[in-house]
Amino acid sequence: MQLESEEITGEVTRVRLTGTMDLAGAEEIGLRLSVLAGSRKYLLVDLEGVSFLSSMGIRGLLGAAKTVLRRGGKMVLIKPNATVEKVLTATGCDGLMPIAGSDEEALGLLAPA
Amino acid sequence: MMPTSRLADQIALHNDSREIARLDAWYRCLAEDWPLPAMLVAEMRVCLHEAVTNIVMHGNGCRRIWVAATLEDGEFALSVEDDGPPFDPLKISSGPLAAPLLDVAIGGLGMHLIRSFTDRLAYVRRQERNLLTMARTVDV
Repeated sequence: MQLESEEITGEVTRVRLTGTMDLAGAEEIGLRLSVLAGSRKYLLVDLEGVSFLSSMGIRGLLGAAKTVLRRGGKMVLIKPNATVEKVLTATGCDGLMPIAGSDEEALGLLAPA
Repeated sequence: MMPTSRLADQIALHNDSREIARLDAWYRCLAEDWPLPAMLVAEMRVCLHEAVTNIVMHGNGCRRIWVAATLEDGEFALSVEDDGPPFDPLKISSGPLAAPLLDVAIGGLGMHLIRSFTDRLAYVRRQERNLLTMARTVDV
């Protein structure tokens, strides 16, 4: 599992995840995702390269989303494939972490309500 | 009269998280060969990961895991058997996450996914082993 990050603006960081987000995959990127969540205000997490998501991967995503929220920020998921999106909706994660179809949509979701 | 076709395959694993990659490769190879819809294959892959990951993480005393797949009479079934202490995963309460993000307790999600993606679930303790069967009707 791979994690790449790039700072879009001073407060918004885009995180691109690639690979299988199962037990092993979640462990591989868990620390780096936690560090990013603890140091950035807004995270756009690009899931387009994630071919598989299990509950272990969900734990990592929710943990990061919680950390960001505690610091007054927000995390948005971008472009999950059909199966990954079904896992997110079946578990109710879509109500806790917004899902966007593009970077533009995701940036719009980061704006204060 | 057409004979009823039956497909079956199985794999044995050690109770070790590193074995999940081998299990996943076995499942994806099987799924390529069997006449199954792509979304069903993907959702049952989630179920398989959840069931085996649960054993690997919580199955203290378990040494071996056996997984069998069958496609018969319009049903695709995955059976996960382990030699750990008695444990009925169907007794795990589960549901979608409903609380606000900061309050949400992350537990039981794996079982919730299994319940969401299967049509039939069964657990039995037999011959000192736990046997969980997860099945899905295959639309012809």
